[in-house]
Amino acid sequence: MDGTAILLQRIRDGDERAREELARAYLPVARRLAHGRLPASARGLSETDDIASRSVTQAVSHAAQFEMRHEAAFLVYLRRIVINEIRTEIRRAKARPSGGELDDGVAWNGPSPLDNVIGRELMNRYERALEQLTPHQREAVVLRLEFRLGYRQIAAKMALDSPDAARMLVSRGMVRLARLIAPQDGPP
Amino acid sequence: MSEPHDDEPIDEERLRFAERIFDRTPIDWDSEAAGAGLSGDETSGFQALERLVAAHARVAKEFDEINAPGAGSLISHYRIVSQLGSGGMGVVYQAQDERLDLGRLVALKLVHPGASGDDLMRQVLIREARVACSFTHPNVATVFEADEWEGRVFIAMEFVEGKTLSEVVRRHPVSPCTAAEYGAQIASALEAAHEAGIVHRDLKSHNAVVTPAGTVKVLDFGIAVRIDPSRAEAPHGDTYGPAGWTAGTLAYMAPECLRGEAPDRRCDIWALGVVLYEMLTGKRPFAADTRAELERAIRQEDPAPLPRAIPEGLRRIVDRCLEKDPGRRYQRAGEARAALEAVRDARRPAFRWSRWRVGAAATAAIAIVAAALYLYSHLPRERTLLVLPAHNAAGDSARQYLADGLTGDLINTLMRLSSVRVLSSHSSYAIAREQVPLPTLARRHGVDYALESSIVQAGDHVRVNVALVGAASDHPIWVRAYERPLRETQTLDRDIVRGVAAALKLSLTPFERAMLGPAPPVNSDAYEQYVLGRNFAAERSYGRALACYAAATGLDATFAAAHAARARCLVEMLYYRVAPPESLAPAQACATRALAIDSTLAAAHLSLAYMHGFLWDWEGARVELEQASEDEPGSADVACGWSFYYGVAGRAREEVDAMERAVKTDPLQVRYRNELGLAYLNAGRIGDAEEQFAIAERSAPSEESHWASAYRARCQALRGKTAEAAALLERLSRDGQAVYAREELAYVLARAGRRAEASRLVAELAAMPPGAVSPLAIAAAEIALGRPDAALTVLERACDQHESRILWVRVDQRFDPIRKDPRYAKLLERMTPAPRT
Repeated sequence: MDGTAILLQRIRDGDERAREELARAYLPVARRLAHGRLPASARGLSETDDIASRSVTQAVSHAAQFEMRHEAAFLVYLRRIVINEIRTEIRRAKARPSGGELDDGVAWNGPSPLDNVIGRELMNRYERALEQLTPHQREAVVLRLEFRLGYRQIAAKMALDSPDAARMLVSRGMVRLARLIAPQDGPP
Repeated sequence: MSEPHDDEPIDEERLRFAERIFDRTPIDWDSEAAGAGLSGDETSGFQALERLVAAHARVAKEFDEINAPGAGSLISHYRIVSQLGSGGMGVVYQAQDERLDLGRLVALKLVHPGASGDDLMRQVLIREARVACSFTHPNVATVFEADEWEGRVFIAMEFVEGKTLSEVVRRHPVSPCTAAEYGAQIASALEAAHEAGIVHRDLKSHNAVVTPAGTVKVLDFGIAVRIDPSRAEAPHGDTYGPAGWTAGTLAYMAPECLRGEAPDRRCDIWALGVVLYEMLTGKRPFAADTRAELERAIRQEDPAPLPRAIPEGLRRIVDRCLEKDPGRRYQRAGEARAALEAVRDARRPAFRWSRWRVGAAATAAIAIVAAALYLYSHLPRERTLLVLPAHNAAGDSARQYLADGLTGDLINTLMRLSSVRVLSSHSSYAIAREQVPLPTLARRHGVDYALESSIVQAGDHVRVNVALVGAASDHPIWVRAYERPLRETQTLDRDIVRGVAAALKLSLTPFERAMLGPAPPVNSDAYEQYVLGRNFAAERSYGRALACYAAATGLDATFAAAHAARARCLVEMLYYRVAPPESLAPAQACATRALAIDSTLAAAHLSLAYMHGFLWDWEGARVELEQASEDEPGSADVACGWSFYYGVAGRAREEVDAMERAVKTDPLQVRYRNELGLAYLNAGRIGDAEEQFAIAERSAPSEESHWASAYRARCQALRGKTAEAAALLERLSRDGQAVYAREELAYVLARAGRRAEASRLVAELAAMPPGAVSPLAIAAAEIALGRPDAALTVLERACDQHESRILWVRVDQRFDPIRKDPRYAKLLERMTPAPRT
């Protein structure tokens, strides 16, 4: 059992300190995730930290109910919460009346660093395509592509037999993702 | 589209594209996609994924840059000076340790937080880095500390200036001789690490730095793994951290590591083979476009044969390191080191011969000569000179002092030159006693030249004949006769050393040239007394030595060397507690008087350094040591002083380095062997310590050889062989009233669980007169008895009394159990200000 699984088990056993430890361990991960997806103009230190900390709190609060297959599942779960938190925040900002020195709605509607590099349209296609993979493929692809883990680490986090098994799972997911992500009107 | 599942059939070509996207190997989509039969949608999908992978990498890098600590910021107690570089594992900074007693510069590796957030993984990394903290070696960048800071692991290492081997090799391969030299140094580092139970796991050319002095330092022992040093093979079923945790760089990983087997020391030997191959060819032995292909090549393929121009012996070493079957490799790094040294040594004479031929054969092919010169100039060694005891040509024992005086003066003056290594007086006499041909001495002791001399008194003049001899060839290369008035005998050494320097084409600094200039003549009777005093001091007949020195200065009040020798003698007596503390004042007066006459006398500065040390004035000690080093850069005595200084500061690695320098200069000085052994002990190198104590024990019976036995017993106890250690110490204790043996015995008995006997002995020792027993020994025994409070009380009381022997508490590993005690921290504070630089 890895560290996260142990902590989750302790949380299920009612250990409050385990809850704190889990939150502390995953806060840097959430900050990193939030950084890539928060609109650049709204990405002050406090916004990044607020989103990260709310996301971790939410993930940890559901940890006791979370059926933990392996650590990768928790990572992907946390990733989903961070993305949802950012979307919620963007929606809220848009609904707020504009005014004052900083136009909150405009700030939150700007591009994220990832949007800047590859465009929002491709990011949206990627998210949609990702949802169509099997859960295993999705976890493996996210760990490799977004968390930039090696095959050995992926194997460890997904409780796979070997790095080769992780490599095969990632590669299959990527081939399938390539088919799903392609725009219907051909190459750009 | 059908419902997806994990195992749906997908052809190999497409899987390979997916893999290559992550490997970031360039793909020519126009030609390759068509060749693989990819549809337009698939091609654009793969291209989109390629951009996604690059984008995530870029954003992650940006995140790290934004969140990277800048210059001036603090990571734990390290103040960032600048960023040295960044890599896959993290960012490396130059930083300064701000703890009150250190202030040293370090290379600080801040490990990327990664995405895992896995607490366990971080703990494994910290734990393994801490294992390396206990390990020091001249060819290893010492790991000082590993810990967490804001959820990130940091590892503080020795800051090493120089170029990595990968940078060196990038321009061109190195010569076989240099490769053998560098390889031997790396193997030596691995040998020591393996003996300490540490496997590097990530040895590569990027992790070895060549310093400007030609020393190779292996970096990144921070991800080492603990093994049982007695086993070459990792036991089946042992775990080395969480499942799937594999450190290392693929191109340097041994086949068995790729199969997921636990790493053992033979993985490091494989990596050594890769580094050697890289040094010799400028290329790695295995290369491929993708990770999978590289893994396959490492597992199954043989590397391209090394060029025939590389000596066969060296090719065999590389081949053996790169055996796929770990059982067919060298099983110990020491074997590889010995083989590399043999190749290196076999090559050296040829290069040296080539160099000398350059001047003689002007028509020789320029390219060959240039190559030989290049190779020679890259040999990291210095010239070593042995001054043989001067021959008393008249055979008149009443004039033996003239011969002894000349020998000592020549050695002392030559030691003041920075461009040549001179064996100490003690070693010179001991080597001369071996009575073997010079070429044999040359091989045995690494001597390049010998200086022979004879002296005879004729009336009121002395005549001296001197010959500088090439040690290997036994041929004189410079011969000279001198005749001087008797009263100028003491300054004759300067004339001779000037001649030697010219013959060896030594480059002298302005200071050295001035030091070799004319000196005032000395009263001949005073000189005789001075030489006699020096001989008595060497035998530790301090009382008689002091009487001679007093007579010398009485006869000639301007005789600076005699004043300095008197100060040095008093300091030794204070150090060994055979003189009362009140002797400090006259010692200080003598040293000051000596420096007033001649401000460049290292012995006087060194004496003052010790005196500052006795008063715990570390800044004063440092200033005087620096002055002594400047005056006599090759002095073993000064190196020993530095070693003490570093030991007291808790800087075990530097303590070892300095003491190794002393032993190198004076290899036959038993006292230095013991001090080096203690320095190794402080650095956690028990095996090396035992070796030094064993050498000291084999010397002629003396106080030092008995101490060596007692220290060796401590090593045995630390290794868990407490019964053997106790038996040895009990025998030593019975042989006489050896307090030192009983001091060690108290600790060993406590470690052996013989608590009643240990307690009794501690009580007996504590009841002895003040100063007779080292409080450090009593405190160590109290700790071994599980009484840390009692130990701290002993140390605190000793601190009240300014007892210098407790200063080594910072490095003595017997005190590890109390390091976290607040009383210990307070004790250290009271012992400050400690040495800073």
